[in-house]
Parts: sequence; C-alpha cells; structure tokens
Amino acid sequence: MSLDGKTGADRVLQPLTSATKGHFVLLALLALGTLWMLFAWFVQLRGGLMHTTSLGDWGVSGGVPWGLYIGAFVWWIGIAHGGIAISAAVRVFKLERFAPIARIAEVLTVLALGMAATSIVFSLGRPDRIFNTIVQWPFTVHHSPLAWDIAVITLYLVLTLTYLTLSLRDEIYEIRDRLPYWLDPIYAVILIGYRPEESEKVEQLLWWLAVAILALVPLLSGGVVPWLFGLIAAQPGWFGAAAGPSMLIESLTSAMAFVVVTIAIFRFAYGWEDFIRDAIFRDLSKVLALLTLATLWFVVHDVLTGAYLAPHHVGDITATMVSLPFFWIAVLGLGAAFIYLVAQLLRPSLFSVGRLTIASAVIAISILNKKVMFIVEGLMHPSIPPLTNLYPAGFYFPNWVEWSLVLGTIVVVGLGFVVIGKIIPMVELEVVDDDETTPRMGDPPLTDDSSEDATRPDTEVN
Amino acid sequence: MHTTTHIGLLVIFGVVLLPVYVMFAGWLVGRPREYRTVALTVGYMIGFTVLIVAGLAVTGLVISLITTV
Amino acid sequence: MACSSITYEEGIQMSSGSDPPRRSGTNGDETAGSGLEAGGDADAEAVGSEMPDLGDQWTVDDLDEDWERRAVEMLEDVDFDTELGVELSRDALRLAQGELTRAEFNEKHHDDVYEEFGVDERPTTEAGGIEYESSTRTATSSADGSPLPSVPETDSRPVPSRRGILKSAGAAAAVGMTAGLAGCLDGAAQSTTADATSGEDGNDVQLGMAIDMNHCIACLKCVEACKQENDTDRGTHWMHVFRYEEDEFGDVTEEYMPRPCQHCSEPSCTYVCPTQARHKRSKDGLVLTDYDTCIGCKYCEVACPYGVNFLGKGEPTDKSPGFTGSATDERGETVGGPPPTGVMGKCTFCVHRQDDSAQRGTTACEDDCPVDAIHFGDMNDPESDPRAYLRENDEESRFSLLDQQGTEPNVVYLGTEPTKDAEPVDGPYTYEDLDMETLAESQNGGDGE
Repeated sequence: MSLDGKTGADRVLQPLTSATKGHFVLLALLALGTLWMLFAWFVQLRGGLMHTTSLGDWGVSGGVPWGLYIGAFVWWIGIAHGGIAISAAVRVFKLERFAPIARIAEVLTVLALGMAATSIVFSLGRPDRIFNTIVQWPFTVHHSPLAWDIAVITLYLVLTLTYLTLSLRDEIYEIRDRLPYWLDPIYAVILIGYRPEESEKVEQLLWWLAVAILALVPLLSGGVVPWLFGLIAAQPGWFGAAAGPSMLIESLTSAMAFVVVTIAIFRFAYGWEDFIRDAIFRDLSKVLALLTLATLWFVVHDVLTGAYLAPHHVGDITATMVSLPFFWIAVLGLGAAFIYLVAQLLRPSLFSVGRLTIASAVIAISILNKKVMFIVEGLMHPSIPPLTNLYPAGFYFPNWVEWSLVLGTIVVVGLGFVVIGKIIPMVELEVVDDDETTPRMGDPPLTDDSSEDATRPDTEVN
Repeated sequence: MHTTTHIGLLVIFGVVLLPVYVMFAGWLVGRPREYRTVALTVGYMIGFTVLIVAGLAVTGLVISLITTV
Repeated sequence: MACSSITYEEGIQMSSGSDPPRRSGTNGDETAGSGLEAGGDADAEAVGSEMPDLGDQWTVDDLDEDWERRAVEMLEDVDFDTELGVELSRDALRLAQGELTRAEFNEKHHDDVYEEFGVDERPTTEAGGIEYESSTRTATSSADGSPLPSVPETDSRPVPSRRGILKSAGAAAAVGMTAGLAGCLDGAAQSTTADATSGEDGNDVQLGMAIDMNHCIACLKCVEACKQENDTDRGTHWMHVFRYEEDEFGDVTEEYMPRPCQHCSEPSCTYVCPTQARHKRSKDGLVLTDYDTCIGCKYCEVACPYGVNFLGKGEPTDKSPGFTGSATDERGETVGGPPPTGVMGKCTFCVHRQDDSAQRGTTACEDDCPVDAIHFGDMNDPESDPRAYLRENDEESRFSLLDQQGTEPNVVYLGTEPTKDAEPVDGPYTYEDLDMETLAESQNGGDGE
C-alpha cells in the first residue's frame, strides 16, 4: 500500500477514526461467534457441567474430570507470554527491530490472560462461586497450587495492564485531539494525573516493569501452571520435575506462533507492510524453528522415558499416548511445521508470510492438542496400580459445548482485537514517525538520549 | 492440618514475587527519583487489581443469576 | 509353597509365645499364600483361651523356660537347627522391644543363618540386601505403648523379593520367613520409638475403618446401604467394591476389596483445594466437603489417588427415600448427604450419624454388612472396634491402600493388597443386578468393570 501522502502516524490512527465495510463485516462475524459461545455457555450453566459436556468422574465412572477447558487454560496462559515477553524484551534487550509489533503483542497478552481465566471458569462445577477463591485466598495460598495460579495470573494481568497504560500515556496525550471524542472517558482514565515531564520517570518505570514481567514468564508458564500438575503425586502421568521446563518451552512455542498469526492478520488487514516488514517475520521464524525443535525434543524425552524400562503405570500412559491418533496429529503438525521453517531458512525463496502464518497456526493448534493430551492421558490411566487397572480406563472426547466454548475464546480474542484496535493505536507512533528508517521503541517524545542514559545507566544507549 | 505442605507462602512471596520486589526497588531507587509517578503507577496497579477482583465478583453474580433455576 | 516353611512358620508362631495378640510370627506377606487358611481368627481365639494373654506387657524375660520347652518341642519336628530357631525368636522379641537394632539382630545371626540355610539375604550393616521401608508413618504407638494396627508395608520392595525367595527353593523359604519376621518386627521396634504421628495431637479422635477382605463376599450390600443412606446420584458410588482375580503362577483366586473414602491423615485433596471447602474436621478427623463453599473445580478429584470423588449431578436414584440425616454439622457447615449439583462429594463416613448421639460410631455400610467385614471407629483408641478387631486378628496380613502415596489413609485392610496385575471381574453380584449400574457401564457397554 502506498503512503498516499500520509504520514505513518496518520495511517496508524486511521482505524481509530474511520471504519471500512470489511471492518463491520468482521465485527459482525466475530460477534456472531461470540454469541454462539455465550449460547453454549448458557446451555452448560443451565444443564450442569457433567450433563452437558463429556467430562466425568474418574474411578468407577471411567470419566475424565479435566479436559479441553483445562487444556485451553494452559494454552492461553502460554500464549499470553508471547505478547508481553516480546514487548518487554524489546525494552530490556533493545531488540528494536521488533518494536513495531510490541503494542499488538501487549494487547494479545491481556486478551489471552482473560481467556485463560475464562477457561477455568468454564471448567467449574459451580462457576457462580468463583469469588470464593478470592475470599479464601489468604488461607489457601499456603497449600493450594490453584490459589498460587490465581495470584500469579492476577499479578501478571495487573503488570501487563499497567505496562500497557504507562506506555500509552505520552502517546495518547500527544494525539488526543485526533482521537474519537466519544471514547474520552477511556482516555481520561489512561491520562489520570498526566504531566508531560513525567515521561523520563515513566520510561524508567516501564523498564523495570519489563524486567519483572520477563522474570515472571518462567515462574508462571514454567512454574505455577505446570505445578498444578507436576506436584500431584496421585497422577503419575503428570508428576515430575520436567513438567515445568517442557511446559515452558511448549508455551513459548505456541506464544511465538500465535504472535506471528496475529501480526500477519493485522498487517494484511491494514496494509502495514512497511511498518511490519518481512524481516520481522523472518526473525520470528528463526525463533519459532528453534522453539519447535525444543518442543519435539521434549516429546522424545517423554516417549522414551515411558517406553523403555518404565514402571508399569508410566508405561501404560505412554503406550496409550502413542496409540492415540491425536498424539500423532500433534507430532506431525509440529514436525511438518518445523521442516517448513528450516527449509525457508535455508532457501529464502520458500519464505512467504502467508506460508509462515499457516505453519504458525499449525504449531499453535498442535500445542493446544498436546496440552489437552497431556491432561487427558494422565486422567485416562489415573492413580497407580492396583487401582489403575481395577478401575475402568477413562474415556474422553469433547462434545459440541466444549468445542464451542474453547473455539469461542479464540473468537473473543479476535473480537477484542477488533474493538481495541478502534480505541488505541496498535503500533507505537514513534516507530512509524521516525522516518521509518530507524524504528525506535517506546521512547517518549520528550526524552532525549542523554536523559535516557541517566535513567538506565546499565543499559546501552541507542 | 496441612502441617507438611505449607510451602505456598514461600513459593508465592519468596520466589514468584521476587521480580516484583526488585521492580519496586528499582522504581524507588532508580533515577530520576520522582515519587509522584511511582505513586501514580502503584495506584494504577491497585486499581487494576480491584477491577479484576470486582470483575470476578460480578462474573460470579451474573452466572448465579443464570444458574439459579 | 514348601511344607517346611509352613512348619517353620507355625513353629515361630507357637514359640514366640503362642499368644494370640502378639504381632510376630506371621508376617503379613507370607500369609498371602498359606495364611488365609492357617491364620484365621478362629484359631487365634482357640489358642487364646488356653494360653495366658500377656497382652502388651511382654518382655524378653517372659520367654522363660516353659516357653523355651514349648518352642523346642515345636522346632524338633523341623529339619532346621532348633537352637537357632529359639535364639532367633528370642532376639526377634528383643528387637521388637527396641533392645536390639535390626542391624545388630541380622548381624548376630548372619553366620548361623547362612550356615544353616545356605543363604541369608537379610540386610546387615555392611551389606544392603533387602531394604525394609521405614514403617514409622503407619506403625504408630499410643501412650500406653500398645502397638497400633501397624501395617506391614506390603507394597514396598521386600514383598516381591521375599516372594521370589519363597518360590525358588524350599530350604531358602524358611530364611525368607525369618527375613520377613525381622522386617515385620522391625516395624514394631520402630513403632515404639516413633512419635505419635497422626495429626498434631496424638490423642485426637481419628475415625477410620478396619475392613476384613477375607470376610467380604462382594454382596454389594455396603454399596446399596450407602446409596440408600446418602441418596447419592446415579452412577455415584461413595462405597465401591473392587472385584478382581489374582493369578499367581496359574492359581487364580477371586478377591474383593470394599473402598470407602480413606479419610487420610494427610489428605492430598484438602491440600489442593482452593477454597478450603475440602477440609479435615479436627473433632474426629473426618475429611469433608463444605457444600456451601465448593466451586467444583475438581482439583481434589484429580489429586486423590483413590478415585473416591464424585461431582454432584443432581440425579438421585429411586434406591433411596431421600437423605434424612442432618446435612449441617454442629459447626454449621453443610457437609452431610448428597452434594448439590456441581459440588464435589464423597464418602463422609456418614457424618450425620457421627453428629447424632443415637447413631454415633456407626456407618450405613458397616450396619448392613452381613459378614461383619467392616469395623468402624476411632483408630486412635485402642479399645475401639477396628483396633480390637485388628488386635484379635493379628495373624492376618494387613495393608493400607496405596500407602506409598504418603496420604496416611485411615482405612486398614485385612487381607492381601491387590497386585498391579489384579484383573477386574464381574460378580458374584453386579451393580446391574442391584439396579445401580455405573456410568462407565452405561456408557461403554460395561466393558470397564
């Protein structure tokens, strides 16, 4: 798309002030999808969790109590990292080539965390009592991994929202007169107590926020979330110290893949090829190839440990795993995507954003598949012998309600992007204002290099 | 009860929150030393926390309206 | 099983006092093959009427000349060294009393045992050999020093290795006995030094059960009684009876194991609960769910190794006239009867009965058991029904289910723990017969059970 004599800022702000027909069509489709999800949820709420879904009690009933919902929860938590981690890394490690996608990535984090929490609510037998977890939190944080998750997810969401808000303040202040007036209340909240001279301090606050967020990634997706499973001695399919590292790698893989898909859609929709350049996709594809390989490497560990001289109950779980088609679909998806990623790195002519987006989508879905498999396999052969063999083996396949709700969360994220894209600029304006030759990230207009140096003595100055 | 597995406090307040402590220290010690903006940011954090908690309460309330037969 | 080993075993049994309630001669695991017939409680009672019951006051000095004479008489019939047998028995008791350590015991007789039997796999200080898992958790002792229903760790490594010895050679089998005896007594020896481990306060009431699998006939009366009493949902079995076959080198036996909630002392379900709804009641150690607080996250269900949790489905059966007990306990928490839809429920040990003075100390399953297999009461009270029953049936092997999980269950089984190869079977009565089919049966065409 040509510049048409407009500045980069004009083009980034255009979605906020005008809307195309395509936008409304997309909005309508996503709204319809969301309504379908709400209908399915209504059905589940009225009918009761175990009546309207395929979930059941393990043991005598031969059911699986945690399934697609919990898998989706873990998946969304993982995806949430991709966004904010990229953005934070841009700030902390000065990876400025990724600056143009930082804002989209931050918004993805907020939406994905929301969907993670929603997935948990889907899985509850009595979601109306969800607030009990907060009321009881001071007493359960001593011992319940689920209470830890609530704490860390809330913390992560608060940090991300604060990060997003702080990074918007200068920008919104600068362009407020060009923003839709009817959204003023939102901008007023973002600009509470704003003073132009705060920029330098805000930049320093943001840097430390980014550090904290980066440090929290392994503690959330490689910590409290895998600990939900890895600490449960009753389920040998879950128990173990490797759950943390392997889940962290899987999470980062799906996160990176989801970011690629998201920015590709934005670039396509708004014609931002000149801000979000191919080079960004090429760089992301390298990271993605490495992460996918690491994920496959963990799969090999998993299978080999369970296939060689494994204890009976672990062997049974592995034998079931490799006998389920879904496992091989996940492995094939990851393998095929990995082969493409390597091929396009070796032969640049094979690269195209479209192909990369497809490969990334395959990876993201494969990881979701794998997360669900991890949870369900363990519960199909729960506990340890002799009870494992005395109880009937579990059976589980999600029904339409579960599919609707989980696919619905993806639709809601799409809807969220479409709506938020009308409220805040999705690319940081400094990035597109700097002549588009030296994209810079995050530095407020009032901050010059020398003051930034004073703020962050440890870091290299641009 | 729970005499042996009381490690939650350590996990959350000793390990997981470490980056947050460091962040607060960085905010307070790092230059420029300007506490108004720090207070404002902490205010945002508290505000978002309240928003999330209140949102959860409202979610529960709305769901209870739907589920009550 | 080699006949010499049986004789030797009986010799030890008689020689170590011929006293019914001593936990010595028959180690739990050895009865797996022979003990079911040999070590019945009828025997114990018969012997007990003739011999003075010295109870728990036994010391090494009580092994007097009279005892030695009887022991020698018994051992004369055996091919093995009589003197050694007597010595072993005497020191075994000293071991139990804590006067000897296991290593000392094993070393003292190592050479003799090796000479006599050509093999001695008991661990001494220099050679690791068989490792006996510490029994400090299960073998507790109360203030009066009486041995609690301590549980030989049948699931620990010694079991298969000792079995292996038994199968391999007749002569070696006797050594296996001795090793087993030492292992068993080791638990007792440790129990005298172990702290009262359950809970912060050893004197607390801890309701539990002794379930005699040798009595159980899998009539499913307990399951039915539970359903009638607690009005549980269709397909929900707070009490369940495992029916399975064990194939031991071609000898197929059918066995039954009733499974209520184990009301663990270290329940993993309460640990993971994010709302404190699942809790251990301090008054009597019951593990209960506060139906008003539970959010139905099912974390307790996945964290429990026993599979006793069932989410409330609001589908009562016509088996029950409805729950008539009090759902609310004296703390005002709703813990009794069937859980509401979406709320987790499980066996409550009929908590409404425990809070009702007229029915206290009973459960529906215990009341309806026609063969007296279930004994319910305070596991910390030596005079309670389950404790008395365990004492009376000291020769029977016993185990705690999945004891290695660290949950410290408060249900003690008399019988042999099912092996990993136990094959579930139908019958003699099925849930369908009693109109209580499981969800697995109705969904998967019954292939599960």
